[in-house]
Amino acid sequence: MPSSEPLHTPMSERRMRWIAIIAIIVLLPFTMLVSGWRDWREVRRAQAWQPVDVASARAVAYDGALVRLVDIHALPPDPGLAKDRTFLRARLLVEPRRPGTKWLDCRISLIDAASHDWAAIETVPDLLQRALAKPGEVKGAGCDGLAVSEAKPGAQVFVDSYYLLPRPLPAGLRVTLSTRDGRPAYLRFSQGTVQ
Amino acid sequence: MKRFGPIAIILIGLLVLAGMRWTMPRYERITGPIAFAGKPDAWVDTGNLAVRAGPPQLARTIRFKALGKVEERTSAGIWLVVPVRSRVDHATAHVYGRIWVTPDGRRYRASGRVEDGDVVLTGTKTLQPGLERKDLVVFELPAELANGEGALLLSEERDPQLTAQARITYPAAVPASPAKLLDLDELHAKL
Repeated sequence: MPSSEPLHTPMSERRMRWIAIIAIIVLLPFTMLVSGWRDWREVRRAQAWQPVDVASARAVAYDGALVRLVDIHALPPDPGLAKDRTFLRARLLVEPRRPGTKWLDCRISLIDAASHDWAAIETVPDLLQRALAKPGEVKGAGCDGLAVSEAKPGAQVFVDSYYLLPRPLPAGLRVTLSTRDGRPAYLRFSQGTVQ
Repeated sequence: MKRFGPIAIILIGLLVLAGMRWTMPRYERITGPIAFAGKPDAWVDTGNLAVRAGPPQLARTIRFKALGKVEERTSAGIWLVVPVRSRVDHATAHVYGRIWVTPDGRRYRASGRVEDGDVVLTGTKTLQPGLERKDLVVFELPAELANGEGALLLSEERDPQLTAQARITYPAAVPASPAKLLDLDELHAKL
């Protein structure tokens, strides 16, 4: 009979089993936490649910830039346009505060007192841009990442967005702005007079 | 007897597993669209998107205006044209999902051959709150399947998963003979 101990004793097997159980108890919630945190971050970037109210004509810091609502105005009644609708333009002034400010998935929309939500028109005809432009003003850019990220810190970028709304205009129209890295917070500019 | 106990447990387990496997719904069905059923000429409200589809029209050739030009399209099958009124309740949307289901279960997406048509409902046409639209949804089907019977599926997403989809079922009707030529702009003007 060999006097040496066998390699695997019942005691070591039990210990191994306990180590495995404890590892599962520790690793499983940790794995869920890591992947859950990643998903939670994506949900936060997709949804805007924290409004930041901004007083009219006031500049506010948001996602690496200073943002101010310049104006919002509607197309005057036009015989060529259906009487039940009109186009609007909202103009924001954006001043990047750091180089390479990336505004990804930028959304500027109009909301009314009844929480209706109008998204900006994706392809804006030149004719409409000209019709809503004010004499002598600087041409505005669309709210894409390039317009803001290519601007140097301190430079002024006018961002225009165009909308199709029913006429008469709904009560309590407000402009909202959010970007991927700025969400879930979003800017909600106080109700100004739509000209 | 004791020896058969474990074998019986294994067999019962296998039967239970096989039963679960056979009765398990397909993944696409579990995560499929949430259907809102409706009838022709009645509004179907799916939450944000609401649609009202009229009777389908059949034609061998269609004519329509596109980018300032009059276009004509023939088909080896039949054109099926459904007039649709649509509106959104609270947020801007598109009708990306436009499907015709034939009685034997085949699904046809709206034709890409008429995408430029002024009066054709496409993914680029936008629905704004407070502004109702009227458009035509155009399908190209094999002649033997185009008798006006089937279901029209409309949704905001191209392939809705756990989101709303309007389903308007058209009952079997006396097959109408397809028109030789259908002018989409004229049909749209009558809506």
